[in-house]
Amino acid sequence: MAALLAILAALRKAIARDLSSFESLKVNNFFLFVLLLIAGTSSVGLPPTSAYPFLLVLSVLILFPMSTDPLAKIPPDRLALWPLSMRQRIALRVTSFLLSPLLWIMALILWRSASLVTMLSYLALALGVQIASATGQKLAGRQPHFQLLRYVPQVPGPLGGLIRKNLRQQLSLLDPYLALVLSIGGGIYRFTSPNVDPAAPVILGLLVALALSTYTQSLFGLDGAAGMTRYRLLPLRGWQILLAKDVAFLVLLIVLVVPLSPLPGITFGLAALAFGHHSSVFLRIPQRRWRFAGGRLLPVGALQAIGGISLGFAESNFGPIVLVWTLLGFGASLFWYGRCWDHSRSGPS
Amino acid sequence: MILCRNVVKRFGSFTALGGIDLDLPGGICALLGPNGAGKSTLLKVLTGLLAPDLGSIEIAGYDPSKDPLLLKRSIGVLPEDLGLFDALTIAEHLDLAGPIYGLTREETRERGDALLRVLGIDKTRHTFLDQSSHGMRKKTALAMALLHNPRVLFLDEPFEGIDPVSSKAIQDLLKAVAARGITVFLTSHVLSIVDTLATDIRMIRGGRIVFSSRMADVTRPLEELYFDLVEPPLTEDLPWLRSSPS
Repeated sequence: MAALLAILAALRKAIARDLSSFESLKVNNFFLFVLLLIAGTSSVGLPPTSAYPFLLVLSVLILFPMSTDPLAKIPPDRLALWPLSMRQRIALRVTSFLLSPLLWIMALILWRSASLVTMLSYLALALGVQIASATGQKLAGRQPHFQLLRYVPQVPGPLGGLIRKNLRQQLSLLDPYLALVLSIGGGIYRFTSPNVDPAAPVILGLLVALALSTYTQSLFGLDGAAGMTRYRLLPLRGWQILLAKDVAFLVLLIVLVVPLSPLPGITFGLAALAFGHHSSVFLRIPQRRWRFAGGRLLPVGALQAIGGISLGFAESNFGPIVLVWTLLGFGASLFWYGRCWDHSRSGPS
Repeated sequence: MILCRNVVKRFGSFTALGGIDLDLPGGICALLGPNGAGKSTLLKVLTGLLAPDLGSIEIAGYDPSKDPLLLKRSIGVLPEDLGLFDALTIAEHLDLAGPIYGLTREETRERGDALLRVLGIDKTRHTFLDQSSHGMRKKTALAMALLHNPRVLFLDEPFEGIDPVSSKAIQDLLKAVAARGITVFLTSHVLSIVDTLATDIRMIRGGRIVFSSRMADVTRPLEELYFDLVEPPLTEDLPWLRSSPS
């Protein structure tokens, strides 16, 4: 019994830490936007129906990392080596499910919505995701070389290897998939709806850029300590290292805003990068794979959201000259923070 | 090739390096010392990963604080944490590094293939780093250190976690590069390998060099010298390990 309790206590701690990693949502630029949307409509006494589609997308995406087996947190070899009887192992399997965050989500949904259909639909979806995830892991175990991110192609040029790595890292966050859903949805609306609001593609393009923008606050958040060591060993200037990050971000952004309104979206992206260089170089904001990117609300998150949206709308109103000025500002930021990188990472203290 | 005078590095009130002097014109120099003695810190300072608080350093003719890029082009480093990216495969690490060091794609591929073969990881070249064993990761980092044919090699524990066949291959490789005039500076805990590989030896304890000699001039067994000068073996008895298993 003591052994079982010790394992469950360790599992509970691991799951609590895992849940705390979802604190990143609190400081994700897109989530802030959804919260502001809810607050704005609620303050005038209206139900926040305009936020529902965004909440739905977020909740579905969150299911993927959350609907995993809690017992999977223990390395299988370690679990097999522990001197537990069959009865103890079955008890562990059953009770560990009580620690599943999914159960708590379900309880919350039941408590908040009181809609049985919604609850059952969500449960079915969660089960489907869990089965798909488990099947995928089994298949991946049989084919260790199978990884979709492997198909990100080699980019030419001296920085090509870094750009490919940065693209893969970015694609291992949930933000690009949120942006992808928005891009596909917006594209379908734009090209199939008979009466498209002329402002809609611009707004949707900016939303896509906003969904991607939090990552720009911590461009090195997925590199870890070992990655930072490698950067400091490579014979590259700071601006080159930052440029490899920025190019990867812009490639993804351009692909996603092309079906909507590319230039305002790119303007937002350049502004987000220009503002994000500071925190990327000076702050350590570690990110976790298959989570939403987390950042800082003040000042950088607010600057990115307000500055990016303002410049994006300005571009759509006054033309590409705004994009050119933003590009110049981005270039200045790249140069300045590249110098900061050189002095802070490889020079004398 | 490696020259440093009175190098001091402090972390707050803790002095990690307390005035290190080195003068290594070539060959293979092994730095020995217990955990926490300052071996990795010295390597980081020499390779420009850490700035010293005091002292002067010259590696391959370059001062790490004045010519960081020229220094980085001239050295190959196997760092303590290996400096690898989980998002890349073994071969992709070499594809990444080659062009940055000025190699063409063909040169990179040619040299990379040969290195992976010699290190015995050519069959696992398409494995992502987060699915690789510690030994494979270490060999990848070693291949990255050698790819651009550096003038000075800094290797932090190159034999730890490496199988005997690869260990032999690495030793032969290091002997060959040293014979071509490349200076190799390595840390290791494997005294038997150091005994046969190194041409120079330094022992460090508490951030200070306590023994410095050419290997040819060492007359006592290395292990005996190490226990005498650096740290005696621990002798605490654990009686519960002597009792019958429960």
